[in-house]
Formats: sequence, C-alpha cells, structure tokens
Amino acid sequence: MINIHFPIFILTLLLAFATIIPLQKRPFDRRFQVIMMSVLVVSLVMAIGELIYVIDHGAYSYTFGSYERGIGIEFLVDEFSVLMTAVVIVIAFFILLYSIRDLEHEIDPSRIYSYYTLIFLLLFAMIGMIFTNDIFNMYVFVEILSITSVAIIAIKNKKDSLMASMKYLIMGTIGSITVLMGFALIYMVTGHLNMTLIAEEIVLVWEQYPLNILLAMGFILTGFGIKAAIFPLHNWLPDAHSSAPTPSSAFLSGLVVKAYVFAIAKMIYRVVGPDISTNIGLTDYILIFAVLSIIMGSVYALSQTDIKRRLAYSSVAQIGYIFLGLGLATDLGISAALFHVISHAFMKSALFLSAGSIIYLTGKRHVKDLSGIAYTMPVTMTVFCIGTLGMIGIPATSGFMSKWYLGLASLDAGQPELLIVILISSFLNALYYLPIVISAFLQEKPSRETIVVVSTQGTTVPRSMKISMALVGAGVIIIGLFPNIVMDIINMAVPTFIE
Amino acid sequence: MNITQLRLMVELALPIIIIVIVLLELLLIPFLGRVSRRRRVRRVTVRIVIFLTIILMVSIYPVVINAPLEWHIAHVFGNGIIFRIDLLSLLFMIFAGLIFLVVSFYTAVDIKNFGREKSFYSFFMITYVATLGTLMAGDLLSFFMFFEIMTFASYVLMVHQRSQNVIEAGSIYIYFGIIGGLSILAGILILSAYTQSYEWLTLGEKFGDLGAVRYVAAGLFILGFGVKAGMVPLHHWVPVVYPKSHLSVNALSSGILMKIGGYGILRLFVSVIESTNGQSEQMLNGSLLTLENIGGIIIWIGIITMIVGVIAALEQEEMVRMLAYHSVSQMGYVIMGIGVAAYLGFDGSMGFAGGFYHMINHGIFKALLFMVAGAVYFKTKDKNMYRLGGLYKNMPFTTIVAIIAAFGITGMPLFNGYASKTVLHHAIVEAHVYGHSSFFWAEQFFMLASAGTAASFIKFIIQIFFGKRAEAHKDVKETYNSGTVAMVILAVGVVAIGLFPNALLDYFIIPAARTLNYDAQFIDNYLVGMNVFLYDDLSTMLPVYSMGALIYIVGMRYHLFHFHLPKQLNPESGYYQPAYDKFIAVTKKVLNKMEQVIIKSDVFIYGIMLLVLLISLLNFL
Amino acid sequence: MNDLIVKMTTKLVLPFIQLYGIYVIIHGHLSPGGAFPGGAIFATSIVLFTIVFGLRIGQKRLPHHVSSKLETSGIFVFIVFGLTGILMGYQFLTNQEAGFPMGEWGRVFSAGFIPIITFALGIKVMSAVVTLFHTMMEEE
Repeated sequence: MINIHFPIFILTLLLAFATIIPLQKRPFDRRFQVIMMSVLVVSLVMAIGELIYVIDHGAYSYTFGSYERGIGIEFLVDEFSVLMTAVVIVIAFFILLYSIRDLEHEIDPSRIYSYYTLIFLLLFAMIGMIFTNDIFNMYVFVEILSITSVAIIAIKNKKDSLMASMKYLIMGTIGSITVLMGFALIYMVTGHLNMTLIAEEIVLVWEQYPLNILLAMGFILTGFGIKAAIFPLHNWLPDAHSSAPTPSSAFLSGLVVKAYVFAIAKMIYRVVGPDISTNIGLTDYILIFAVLSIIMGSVYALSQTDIKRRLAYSSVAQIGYIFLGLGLATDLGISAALFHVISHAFMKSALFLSAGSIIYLTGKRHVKDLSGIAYTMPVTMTVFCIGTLGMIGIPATSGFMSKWYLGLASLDAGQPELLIVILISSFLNALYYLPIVISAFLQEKPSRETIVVVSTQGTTVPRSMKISMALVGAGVIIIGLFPNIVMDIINMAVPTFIE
Repeated sequence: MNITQLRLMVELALPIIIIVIVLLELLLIPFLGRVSRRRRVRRVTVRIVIFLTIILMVSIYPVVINAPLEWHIAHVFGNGIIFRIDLLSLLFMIFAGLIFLVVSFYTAVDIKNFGREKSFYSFFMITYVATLGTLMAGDLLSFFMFFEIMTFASYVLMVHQRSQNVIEAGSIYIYFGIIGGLSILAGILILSAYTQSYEWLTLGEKFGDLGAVRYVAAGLFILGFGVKAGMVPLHHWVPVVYPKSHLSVNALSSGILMKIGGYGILRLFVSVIESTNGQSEQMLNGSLLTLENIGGIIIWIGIITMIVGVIAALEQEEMVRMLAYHSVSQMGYVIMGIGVAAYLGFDGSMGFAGGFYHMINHGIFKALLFMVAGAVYFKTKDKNMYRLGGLYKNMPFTTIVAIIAAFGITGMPLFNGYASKTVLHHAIVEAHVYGHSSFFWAEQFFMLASAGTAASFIKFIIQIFFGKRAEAHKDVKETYNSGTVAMVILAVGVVAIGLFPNALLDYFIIPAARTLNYDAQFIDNYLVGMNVFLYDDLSTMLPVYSMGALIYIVGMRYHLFHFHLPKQLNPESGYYQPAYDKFIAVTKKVLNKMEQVIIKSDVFIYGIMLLVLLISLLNFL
Repeated sequence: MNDLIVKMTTKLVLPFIQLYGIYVIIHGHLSPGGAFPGGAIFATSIVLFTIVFGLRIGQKRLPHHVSSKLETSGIFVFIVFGLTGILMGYQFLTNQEAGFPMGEWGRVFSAGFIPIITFALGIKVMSAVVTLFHTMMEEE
C-alpha cells in the first residue's frame, strides 16, 4: 500500500521544499505564501492518512533500503509518532499562517526566505526524530534540530537575540556532545545502534556492565535534559524564547522542546526498558527534577515583568509536568505525559501567538502596560484568556484534562504528594496569569494612552494572524471537550511504547 | 400537541433545553444595547428567559417526586456527561431561578444607573446557567466544570464597578475561589482514583470501602465547599468583597451562590446515605462511622462560624459589611444542620430538613436585606448605620419591608426564619440526646448566636429607620420601580412561608428525605405534620429576644459596639493583602538576584554545573 | 594578493587538487573518503583561488546563484534515487532490489546508485563550503 511510505513522503517533501526556497528570486509575495501553505496542507493530509492507516493496521517498522533491522536505518511508525507528527504539522501550519504578516516587522525582509528554509528544515528534523528507531539517526536529527532552532532565534539581528542564541548554541552543543557520549557508551556495550535490538541486548548484558549503562543513561539524560530545559539546566530558555521572533518562540516552546522530551521517553522506555529504569532509580531521579521544575518554574514566572519571559518560565513548569508523567513509569503516567505534550503545544502556541500580536500592535511587553487592551484587541485577548484558563486548569480546556490525567496517574502510582504539587502549581499559575487577563479586560486604559495611539501597523491585528490565533484557541477547547480523540490513540500506542 | 406531549418532550431533554435557552439569550444580549429602549427590551428578555426556565423546572416536579431523572450525554469529556435531577436539586434549582428572577428585577435600581449593562447581563446569564448546571450535574467532572464557571462568572459580576480598589478586593474573591476549586478537584481526583467512577451515586456506594483516604477526600471537599459557603476560617473573602460590589450582586451571592457551597457538602453526605440499599453490614457501619465523625466536627465548625459571624457583625458600623458577616453566621446555622444530618446517620432527617429549609429561608430574607440596604444607600449615599436614622418617615415602604426581613432573620414566629430555626433547634437537641453529650453546649451557643442576631438587627432597624434623622437626609424620597417589585415578592415569600411553614416541608423536603433513604419511621414521627407553633418552641424565642434586646441596650449604653479587636487578631485588618504583597516582593528580590548571577556568569560555570550533575549521577549506584 | 609566484603556483596546482577531490568522491564506495571529505577537498581549490585572486573574481567563478542551484540539485538527486526504490515497490533508498546495476565488486561502476549519490552529495558539499567561505569573506 502506498500508505506505508507516507512518513518518507512527508519528510522528503519538507526537505525538498526547504531546499527550493533559497532559489526564489521574486520578493516574498502571495504566490509563495500559497505554495508554502499548500505544502503544509499536503503533508498534513498525508499525516492524517497515515494516522488512519496505523490505527487500523497497527504499528509497523520501515527500514531504509529494504534491509533488515540492524543494517538499515529503521523508522518505527506507531500510533503516537504519527499523531505527534500530525500535531506538529497542524501547529506549524497555524504558526506559519501567523508569521506571514508578523515576520515583516520582526526581522530584516531580505532574510524572510532564509527563515522559512530554516523552519522547514526544523520540521524535517523534528518529524524525523519522532519516527526514528535508530540512535545514531536520532543524533543526526538532533543536531539538525539544534542548529536550525538556534538560527531561528539569531535571525532577528538584535543584541539580546544574538546573545540568547549564542548561549543556546553553546548549551545545546554541550548537550549534543553529552548525548553522543552516552550513545557511544551504549554502542560499546551492546554492539547495536537500533533501539529494539539494543533493548534486547541490554537485558542480557545488564549484569556484566551495570556501571557502563548507568553512565550512558546519565549522559543521555543530562544531554537531552539541557535541550529539553529541565530545572536546573533551563537557564538558556527564558532568554532564548523571549528574545526570539514570535513565530520562533511558539515553535520552540510548543514543539522543539517536546521533541527532546519525546526522545528521552524513547530512550528510557524503548531502549533501556521500564524495568531496568525503575530498578536503577532513573525514574525517581526524573521525578525529583520534575517537581523542582514545576515549582521553581512557576515561582520564577511570578517575578517576571516581561510577558514573553513569563511565558517562557511557564514553559519550564509545563515541561516539568511532562517529566512528572514520565517519571511515574506506569501506563497511566506515560499516557498522561504524552497527552500533555499535545495539549501544551496548543496552549503555549495560543499564548505566544497572542502575546506576539499584542507586541505587534502596541509594542509593549511589560505586564503592567497591558491594562484595558482587551477593548482594542478582543480576539487576541480572548485567545490569551483561553490559554490562561487552560494553564490554570479550568474544565473545558485541554489543560484541565492533562491535569486530570496526571492527577489520576499519580494517585494510581501510589504517590499522592505529586497530586498536591500539581494543584499547588495550578494555583501558582493562576497567580501569574490571571492578573494579566484581569487587567486587560477589566481595567481602564491609563488616560494618557488614548492620545498617543500611533501605530504604524494600523489599528487592528491583520486577519491572517487573527484566524490562526482563533484556530489554535479553538483547538485548545476542542481537545478539552473531547479528549478522547487524542487519548484513545495514545492509549493504543502506550503498550507498544513500553514493551 | 397537547400539554402531556409537551411535558414529555421537556422531560426528555430538560438540561439541554435550559442550557440552549440561556445560551440563546446570551447571544442576544450584545445586540440589544444601542438605544435605551432596546436596553429595556433586553432587561425584559432576561427576565422572561429566567421565568421560562423556572416554569420548565416546575413542570417536571410530578415526575421527579417519584424517582430522580437522569440524562446521559456521551463522548464529551471522555466518559460523557451525566445530568441527574432529584428532589434535592430540583428545589434548589427552582429556588435559584426565583432568586435570579427577583434580583434581575432589582438590578433596575443599581445597575441601570451605573452602566455597562451588556457585560453585566451576559455574565449574569452565564452565572445562572452555571449555577443550574452545578445543581443538575450527576457526575463529578461536569459538576466541577460548572462550579468553576460559576466562580469565574460571579467574579466578573463582583468587580462590575471596575475601579482599582474593587478589583483588588475582587482578586481576594477569585483566589479564594480558585483555592476552593482546586481543593474540590483534589477531592474528586482522590475519590475517582479509588472508586474508578465519576458519579455521585457510585461514590456514595463505595464510600465505606475506602479506608483512611475517605477522611482526606471528605476534608478536601469540605474545605473547597466551605470557601464557597463562607465557613470559618475560610470566610475572609465575604467581608472584603461584599462592601465593594454592587448590592444586586451581593443579594445574588448571598442568596444563592453561598448556598451552592452548602449544597455541595449536603450532596456528599446525602449520596452516601441514599446509596445504602443492599449494602453489606460491614460497609454500612463503616460509612456510618465515618459520617458520624465528620458530622461531629462539622457541627462544631458550624457553631464556631455562627458565633464568629455574629460577634464580628455586632462590631460593624457599615451596613453591607454587617450583613456580610450575618451571611457567614447564618451559613453557620446551615452547616450545623448539615453536620447533624451526617452525625445521626439515618436518623438525621431533622438536620437535613433544617439545613435545607434554612438555606431557602436565608436566601429569601438575606436577599431582601441586601435590597433594603441598597435602597437606603441609593437614596442617602451613606452606608454607615450610625449616621443614618429616622428614615421611616421618608421611606415607609422600605421600613416595612426591612422590619419583615429582620423578623425573618431573627426568627420571629409567623415569619419564615422561625420555622427553620425551630427545626434546626430540634436537630441540635437530637444530636445532644441521641449522640454525644457535649452537644449540650452546642445548643447553648446556638441560643447565644440567635440572641446576638436579634441584638444586631434591633440595632440595624433602630439605627437606620428610627431615631433622629440626619440633616442631610431630610429630602430623601422613595422611588418605586422594578426593584420595589422584587422586594415585595421577597417580603411576601417571608410572610407566606412563615404562615404556612409546613407547605414547603410537605411538598419538597419530606419527599426528598424519603427518597434519600432516611429512616422512614423517624420522618413520620417527627417531621410529618410538624407543628412549629408548639408552646415549647415559641417559648424559646422569648429568652432569645429578651437577651438580644439586653445586649443591644447594654452595647449602646457602654459603646461596646465600637470595641474592635486588636489589629493582629482582627481578620479585617486585611492582613492577607500586605502578607501577599510582601511575599511577592521578597520572592522577586531573591529571584532577581539569583537570576542576575546566573545570566551574567560564564559558560564555564555551566560546564561546572554539568560536571557536578554527572558526578552526582554516579552516586546513584 | 599580488605576488606573481603565488599566482602561478596556484594556476598550476589547482587542477590537481580538483582531480584529487573528484577521485576521493568517486571512489567513495571503494576506499576511505566519500562525499564529505571529497567535497571539502574540491572546495579547497576554489577557496584557494578566491584567496589568491580576490573575492570578486572568485565570486565570478562560482557565483552564488550557481552554488545554490548545485546544492538544491544535489539534494534532489538523493531524493529522486531514494524514491525510485519506492516506485519499484520496495522501501526508500533500496539499492539492489530496485534494479540498480550492481556491477562487479571492486570496480568504480558498481554498487547500484551509491556512486551517483556520492557524486551529487560531493558537489553539494563543495558548493556549501564555498558559499560559507564567500559569505564570511563578504562580511569583512
């Protein structure tokens, strides 16, 4: 069936389009935008077709070159990978729709084509990383992802963006090298590079080389942890995500960081296996850092006054939730974590896109300056409000369902203190998100503002930006009301994930 | 299509119909605002919609009296939503509809002149549908969803005035509300995790099974609902927010929203009792023992709330704040009644009846009191009782209505408060007789609180309406508008229930108690045809009133009412806000310092941190 | 640079460097090397040319639009050959089953599509390195 080749088609389409973009001679015009969006639509159609196929027929493995497992690179196409790919493409579609009008004001117009090249390469690398079943292939995709994600921050030629991207680059490279060291140690002990083969091998050699495997996992965890922004390795994240152009912030916070978390999940559960991981205490270790991330991320966010920085620290806390779910090492925990990956992608994109619109129209980033803007930007603030309610955990948003599943998972794993952590952090989230929404909707604008409304961008947010924000907000609510759409697929995938 | 068919159709899909009607109205509201005449149409449509929903709810009474009605809506929220209306919820829903209707009439007094009606009425309708949803919900997830929507929508109503200090006061309300909501969520999660289900009914069935966890879950629920109901020590938001919000909103909140807190606790206990059919002896005893323990604690919490509320109310000089503390105190009566309902297990129908009845009555007379305060405030622009006086000449109608309401709240026979307070008195006596002897003191405190209430309202009436009239208020004149209609309806309610107390008991409360599995013989002996006008009960009111009058006279003579607790003990000194501010300031300073160091430092330090991390990982072996 | 000796030496040496580079690329499936080192060696020749004769002439030799087209076509060759495997009914990047001529072991024209892909990627790497170098020199 042609369906089994769809992952490859998606990847090659994105790669081909990424390499065609630099050849464009015309200025950035409508025709190019249409082509770009249609490429994404085609990939989305293929991803959804693949999803339906995998739900009907089950997971399968696809090796390059028709070789067998250990010789060729293998893609393990299971339900969650395809779902994650579909989510990535959907959110990328919304963010790129938003970026069409927004980029002109954030970066130099001559660099717009380079920006889109980088975005498509980033998508290529992320989807590759989601599918791959081979650790060295994963390393290659990780490298491509690192470099492109640094570049989409640095493309904005301001001083703070450049400094932040430099910091991200160095931290990221340290992370990559650490990960490579871990991979090398694993290869040394097991002699394979394919994850399923390694998993079989590790069970046999665990007795002989415990220190080796432990060290390898330590390196991998630290390396990916730097890139996934676990506390205390998160220091690059606030600068990077807040000084990047808005579409980049949305991509980074919503998608890129999750890809690394997913990589850690693959390493712990597919390569080393849940039994060994719980035995050596790896999952408990992750739990400690998860709790620290959740609490410290929210506490730091309380003291920020720049809106994008506040959102970035909030991302640290939300990544903590995902690690909490992973650290529980039960079926429920992993499904809750994977559900939160998807739900947070939607919520954080909604928040970043609306914050970006506020900055686009008014140029103001300070939290205290946002009083009363809900009357000039109703759509934007509504989307921000939906994102806020999701973060606090109000029912009918996807954030509530993630908290619900995580709470049930932590109780099921016999650790009720984590439930208290989740609820305390919900309250802390309310403490720093609600004041923004309240002052935007319920306070009057300071009167001296009404005279000096000189905005070069016109008086309202452009329509394409509004549509994309509204769609992302609608996604948050739809997943909140009908979480089954996502949860059933995840529940199908977890057994293959954990075996 | 005749009436029966119509009725069947309504019965088939009542929750959906109600939600759809209110949502339609919600969509209509923004469009009816430009012209003043259209605004009147808008107000009328709001009232018509609420009235329509009340009719719908009353129409299913004959069916619900036999068995509760259930509706399942699949696929939403994963497991689907369940709506379940039984007699307990139905009466509350009808009552909620009535209070909302009456308040919507009253909004002509304050909101009409204030402005920004579109937002007010939209959130009014949202609060209405959320309240009904909370009462209709049969599973915990939708219950929680409607509860949270109700909290947020009522927050917007509370801060309708939008000035800086109002918003600050409102943030106390919403943060308390969020803490309450999260507490309830924790309780729901714990119960769901252990019983694998989300319905109130199955929760009740499996409650006896759970072990020590059920105390934790029950505690969390009580904490969460207690915030909403104004239970001490979580009542702090009531006196902070009520003076700052519009009086219609206060009437609404005190009239129905606080009752949702009481309803929640009641629903928890009642669902344990009602699902005991066919349970094993052991599980039954387990449930009953738990209920007894929790009930005992709640009785004492109720008593404390009563006393704290009354004492704080006596100190107040501002009308609205005093009424706010009285709300807290009267909810203490309700909580005590609910406690008795739990404490005595199957014999707790008296407590159940008392709590239920008092919630209805309190809603009516408290809403009326707030409306009276609003009417006085609007004409005199003064909220301080000691500065008012002698208004009986200028505002005769208001005076009469205020006296009716005051008789209601203090428990004068022939007014509605008397009936419910008598039932509650019987309940606490039963707790003493059938249960632990320490509840004798509970009964004494009950009498004391009633006396304090009497004193406080003697002060209220005398200071505002009698005595010397201030110069500034010489030309105050009453106006008669829809607000007057509202007050008339409520006053009639107070008197009607007072004259025919058994009507409510017979039609709603006793059938509810029966269906909820309370001991039938007990109900027949004590509740059915209960005559509240017995000499024993009438005579208890005499010492209450006389003590109240005594307290008032002594207090006024020796200026005891101006005695304020020292600043540290006084919860009114607003220690929450400065504490919160200081917490934020300290956090900011510490974190800024930490962050600066980390940001300005070298990559070298990052490398060191990594190395340390790796070495610590090795220690894991 | 205006030195005559350097210019003459460069003119003499350049073809040999390029030949060596192409050798490394083409023999990628037979001996150590392949696309990346071979491409780098080939690129060294052009970089040497640019350093010696100046940026302007160097950019005329391998202008930016040519190098970007070379890069794109390199990737396209890779993708097309990979997709041929799918066309023939097997997986991506299938070599022998998809009917590419295997030839004799040890000869240059053997091993299916590997030499062709290596060549395309070699050209790509070459243009990438040259573009990098030219961009960095322009910034000065």
